[in-house]
Amino acid sequence: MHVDTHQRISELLGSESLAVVATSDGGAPYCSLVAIAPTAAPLVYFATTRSTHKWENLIADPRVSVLVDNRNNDPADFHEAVAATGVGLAQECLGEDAVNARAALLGRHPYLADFLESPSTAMVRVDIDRWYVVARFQQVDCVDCAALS
Amino acid sequence: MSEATPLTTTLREAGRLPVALVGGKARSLGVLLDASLPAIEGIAITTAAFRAFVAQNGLSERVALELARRPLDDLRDEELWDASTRIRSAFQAASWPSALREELTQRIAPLASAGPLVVRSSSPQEDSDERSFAGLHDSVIGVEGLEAALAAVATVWSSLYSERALMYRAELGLHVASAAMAVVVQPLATSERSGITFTVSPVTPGVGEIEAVWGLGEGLVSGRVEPDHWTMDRRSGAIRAHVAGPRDQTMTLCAARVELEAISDRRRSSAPLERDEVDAVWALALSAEERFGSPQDCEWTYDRGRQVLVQSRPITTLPPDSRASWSRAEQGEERLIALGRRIDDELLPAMAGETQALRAVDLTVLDDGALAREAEVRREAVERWRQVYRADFIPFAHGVRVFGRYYNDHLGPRDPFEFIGLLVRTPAEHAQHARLLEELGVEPPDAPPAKSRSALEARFLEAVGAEELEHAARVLSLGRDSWRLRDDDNLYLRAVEQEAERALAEIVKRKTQQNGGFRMPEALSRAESGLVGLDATSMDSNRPEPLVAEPGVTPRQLLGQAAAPGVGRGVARVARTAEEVRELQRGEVLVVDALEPDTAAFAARAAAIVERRGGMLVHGAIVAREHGVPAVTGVLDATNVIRSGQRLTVDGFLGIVVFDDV
Repeated sequence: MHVDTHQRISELLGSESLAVVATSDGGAPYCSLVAIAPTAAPLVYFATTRSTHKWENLIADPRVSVLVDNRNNDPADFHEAVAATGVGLAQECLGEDAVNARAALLGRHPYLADFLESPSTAMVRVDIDRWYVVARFQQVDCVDCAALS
Repeated sequence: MSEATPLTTTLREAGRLPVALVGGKARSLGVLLDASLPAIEGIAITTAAFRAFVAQNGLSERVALELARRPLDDLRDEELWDASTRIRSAFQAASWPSALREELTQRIAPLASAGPLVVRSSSPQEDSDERSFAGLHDSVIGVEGLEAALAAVATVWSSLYSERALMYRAELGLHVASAAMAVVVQPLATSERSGITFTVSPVTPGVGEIEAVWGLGEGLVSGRVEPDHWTMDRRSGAIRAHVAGPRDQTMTLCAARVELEAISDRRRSSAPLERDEVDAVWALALSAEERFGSPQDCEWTYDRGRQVLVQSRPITTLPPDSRASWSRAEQGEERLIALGRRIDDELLPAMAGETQALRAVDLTVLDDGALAREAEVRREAVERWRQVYRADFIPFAHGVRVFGRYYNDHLGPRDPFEFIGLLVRTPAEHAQHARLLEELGVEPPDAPPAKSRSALEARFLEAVGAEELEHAARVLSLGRDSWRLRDDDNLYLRAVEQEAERALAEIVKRKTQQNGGFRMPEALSRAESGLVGLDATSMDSNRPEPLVAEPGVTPRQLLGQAAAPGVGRGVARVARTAEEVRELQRGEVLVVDALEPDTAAFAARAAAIVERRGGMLVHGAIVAREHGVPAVTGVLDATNVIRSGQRLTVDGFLGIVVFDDV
C-alpha cells in the first residue's frame, strides 16, 4: 500500500530534534515540548527534570502520546509536511537503558550536556504501540508496532 | 519584491528585460518594436505581478495542495482537468493586491477606453529555444473594459495550470508549482487576414513556408481553418509553390466571442494574400530572423490594412508524439456540437439497429458453418463499434468540460463543479433514460430524488446576459448531450458485446456437446478464438498494478477526490464484478475499481461510493450526484486496500475515506 510509511517514521525520528509529548493531567491532556534522540521506530527517548508537571503526570498515568513532525511553519507544510503521532507507555530508563538514552540525547543535543547529566533529570523511554502517520495533508496510515515485533 | 522589479512595463521596454520577468512573447515583441519592425505596442504584466497576486491569495499553496494529492503522472487526463478547473476557479475568485490593481488600472484603462483588447500569456518558459509551449496557455480576445481585462489577466495566469499545460509539463518533467507567468495586453488588431511564416521549413530543407487565412489567426493556430499555403525559396525569395486552401471558413470576433463562420463568396474566390503581399510577409519574417539571429516562426496579421507581427519565436521541432496527449484536449465547441448531432442522428441509431438485428438471429438453429460466419460478423461489429467509441464518443465527452468552463467563467461559483447541477436528469428525462436501459436489457435505477434545475438554470441564463443568451443555451445543450452520452455510450457498446458473447456461448455449448468424439469444425474453432480475443483487447486497459502492502501498516484514512457531496457511513462491499455490484445491500458502502453504467441501478442504493478510477465525471460520480449519494473517486488501489465488511466513513465533501475501526 503506502510503501514508505516505515521509512517516513524513521526519517522523522532521525531528523527531528523536538517532539510534543502529551501526558494525562488527571484525565485532561497536557502537552510539553521535549528534546528527542534518534531511535529505532517503536521507541522514543526524551529527558525531563523530576520537578516538572509532565513527570508528575506520567508517574500517575504512564499512557502518553508523542507527536513528531517536520513542519517548517510555512504554507508548503500543508502538502509537504509529514507528522507521526505515537501512542504508548512511558517509563523511566534504568541501568544500561539510561546510559544509552543519555548518550543518544547528548549525540543529538550536545548543548544540553548540563541538563542531561544532572542527577535531577530523568531519562524517559516511550514504547510506542501504534503510530498514526499523516502525509499529503490528509492521507493517514496506522502502524501496529506490536504486530511487527 | 525589490523596488526595482517592475509590475508592468511597456512592450518596448520589455524587449530589454529578462525573459524570466516578462516572458518570451513580451520580450520578443519588445525586441521587434525596438528594431522598428511593425508590431502593436501595449503593456507587459510581469511575473513579479503574478507572484504578488499569488502571494496575496495563498494560491501557490492552493496549487501545491491540489497537485500533491496524487503524483501528476498517475492522474488521468480528466483528473488533470478537474484539478485545473479548481485552480482556475481559485484564481478567478482571488482578490487583487491594491498597489497592483492601481498600477494595472493606470496602464490598462487608457488602452481599454480606445477599443477592445487582447490579453495573451507570456510564459518565461514559452518560446524558448528548447521548448515550445505554443498554444498551451490561454489568450482572451476581444476584451472590453477595465474589469473584464483584469478578469482576463487572472484567467490567463490560471492557464499556467490548464490541463494541457499540466500534461505538457508532466511530459517534460518541469516543476509545476514554482512556474510563473507574465501577460501581454494589446489593442486588438482588426485581423482581416492572418497567418504564420516559417523562415525555415520544419520539414523541407532550403525553403520557408507561409500559411494564411481570412480573419483571425486563431483559426489557423487552432487548426480549425485550413490555410492557403506558399512555399518560399530561401535563397531567391521566389514563390516555389502556392496551394490554395478550401477557403470555406473564417474565424471572426462577434460580441467578444471568437466564432467560426462560413466565408463570403468574395473572399472564397481570392487568396488571403496578393502576390506582393506574400513578398512583404516573407521579407518581414526574414527581418525578424535577422534580428533574432535564428530561424523564426512568425505569427502576423493585418491591422487596419497594415501588416503587423503578433509574435516571433525560434522554430522548435518536437518529436511528433510528444504533443499527442495534450493536443487531444483541444476540442472546439462547434466541432463538438456537430459531433453530438452525428452521434445522436447516425451513430447511436445505427448501433441500436445493428444490435437488434443481431439479437433477432436464433443462433441455436444455425449449422456450424453459419454459426462460424455469424460469430465473425459479431466479432467485426464489436471491433468496429469500439473504434467508433474511441474516435467519436470519448472526444464528445469533452462537451461537459466546455460547458463547465463556460459556466464558471460567467458565474464564478464558489464550487467549481456547481455546473453539474444543470446536467443531472429531470424526472422526465430519467423516465426516458429508464426506457432506453430496458430496451438494452439493463435494469434501470430507481428514479433519483426530483431536484429542480430551474432555479439554477434561471440564475445561469441571467448571469450570461441577454446578448449571450442564445449561445449560452447552445453550450448548455452541448453539456447535457455530452453528460447523457457519458452514461449511454457504454450501454450501447455493451449491447453489441453481449451479442458477440451470445455467439461465443453457443460455440462453447456445441463444443461441450461434441466432446463425446466429434471434432469441432475448424471454422468454428477459429471463430471461437476470434471472440475470445475480443476480451483481451477490452476497453479498460489502463488499470494500474496493485500496490504492495507494507508489513504492520494499515490505512486509517485514504485520499481521493470529492466527487459527490455528503458524508456516508456503512460497511464496505468490495465489488470486483458486475455480479458483485448487484449483491450490494442498501446502506452498504460500494467500493469498486471502475463503475460501469449497467450496474448503476445498484450503486444508487449505496450509503456511499468509493471508486479507484478518478474524476468528477466518471460513472460512479454521475450516479452519486444524481441520487445524492456521497462519493470519493480516484482512491488508489481501493478494491485491494479496502476489504468487504470493514466499516467506513466516506466524506464526499473533502474526498477522504476513513476506516472507522482502525
